[in-house]
Amino acid sequence: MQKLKDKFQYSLMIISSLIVFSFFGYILLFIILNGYRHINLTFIFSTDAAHGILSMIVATLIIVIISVIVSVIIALATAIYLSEYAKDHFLKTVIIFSIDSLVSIPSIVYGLFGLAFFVGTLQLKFSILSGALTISIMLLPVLINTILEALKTVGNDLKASSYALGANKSQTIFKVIIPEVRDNIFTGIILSIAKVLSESAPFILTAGVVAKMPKSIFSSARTLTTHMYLLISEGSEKNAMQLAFASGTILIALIVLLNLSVNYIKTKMGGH
Amino acid sequence: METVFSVKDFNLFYGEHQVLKNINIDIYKNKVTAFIGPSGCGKSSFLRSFNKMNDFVGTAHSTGTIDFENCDIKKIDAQSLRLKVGMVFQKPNPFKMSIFENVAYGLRCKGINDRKILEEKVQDALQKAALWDEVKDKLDQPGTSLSGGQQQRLCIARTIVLSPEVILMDEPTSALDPIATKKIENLIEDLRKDFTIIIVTHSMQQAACVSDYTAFFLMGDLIEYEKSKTFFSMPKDKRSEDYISGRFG
Repeated sequence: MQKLKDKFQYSLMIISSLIVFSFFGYILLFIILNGYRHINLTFIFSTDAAHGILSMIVATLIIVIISVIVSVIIALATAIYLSEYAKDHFLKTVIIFSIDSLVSIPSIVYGLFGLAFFVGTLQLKFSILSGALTISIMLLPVLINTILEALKTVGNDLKASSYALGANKSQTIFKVIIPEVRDNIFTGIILSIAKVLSESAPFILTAGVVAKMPKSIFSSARTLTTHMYLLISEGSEKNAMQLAFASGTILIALIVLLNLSVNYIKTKMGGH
Repeated sequence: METVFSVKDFNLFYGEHQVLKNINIDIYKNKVTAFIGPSGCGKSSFLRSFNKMNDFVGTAHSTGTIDFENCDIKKIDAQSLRLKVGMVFQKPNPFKMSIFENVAYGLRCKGINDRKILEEKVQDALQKAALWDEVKDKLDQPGTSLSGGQQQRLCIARTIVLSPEVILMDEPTSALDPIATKKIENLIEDLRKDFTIIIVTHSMQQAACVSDYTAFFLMGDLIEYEKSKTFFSMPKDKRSEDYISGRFG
């Protein structure tokens, strides 16, 4: 009887895993099969929006880089403040509550905020910078929580050992504590990249939709996902659907490429 | 005999709770002093008072004095005190950096970055910690790649590279296997030439074998402080005798 039960549970787990995997595989195949025919060198490298998507790839990459750098710095500083410095329990509770609330705000609301604050008040106009800063705020809660959870696991004895060797607080934080959570920071970076690549609504409101190669971070530009959305909603191209699938295929390749490079940097840095 | 630490009427509190009661003790130079006693008797808290590690416990406060080389440690700034009074912890806990950098850490924190000086001092410390021969070909590998016993010797090397006067050891072998423990005990034998060592231990065998002096603590009181040979062969106090013979603790 017990054996039968074990077998049942085992097959249930296998079946569930297979279902999950087949969804993933199906979506992936569906996009690639529909898109690959349109992918050629002109499509990837032409800066002319009617034929190619290079300007969108560049805009997307710049936004990823700026937003990840900005949000990692702020998140790391916040998480370290909360775990190593903050003594006021009330203030700490309020900050943590705000961070948790930020997670559940829909991205379009961040977009509206970015439109009002970065585009409007700070006069950054519709630009790559406005888009990157808006998405940075969105990335913060997940990054802070990832780093904060990791900081909790750093043992008190390890910190004490550093102090016992005559180190001061900032030496202990930068040389001992941050290296301990380095892997978790990289996990956070990978999650953030995925989020930046997948959002479109906030970018329409802050980075704009100009389908031209951006001249600087102050130019308005279109990200890949925005491009896909506009292709389909505007319907101005005859084969809009196929072009969207082709862009999607490139986007997936971009995700894989970025994850691989982050992993590469991670192992390089951990190599001593 | 030269005194390194002289403790007078020392009381330690965590909040309302009194952990140590009216302790008077002299710690002698280049001797190994063992603190023994059942869990919760205050021996570890006492050890942490010598290098001001109790400062990190928000509720900790104390009365009385601890003099280090005739100077009240309250007047010495914590960072410079800790350079002279090193500490080895219960669990080996190398930092997430290479073996070399682990040992060089304290020196770098002091602002020494000259590669030549670092290499010289790191090698010297690793030799003194009896680890050099095992790691000399892999100094750039992570400290965590070593075995538990090697890691603890690395932590000892990390401490002695700063040439402290005193090394405090808080149950340094409790997380190690018997062979690694024996190696650390032999190491303590060698280190007493250069350093004053205070070791907290749960193992009476260890106290009897490595220490010159033994202090027995019970519920915050210092019950007996004696040469280890005398203490373990003919304890004066009935409670010491009970503890040694395993009747409680």
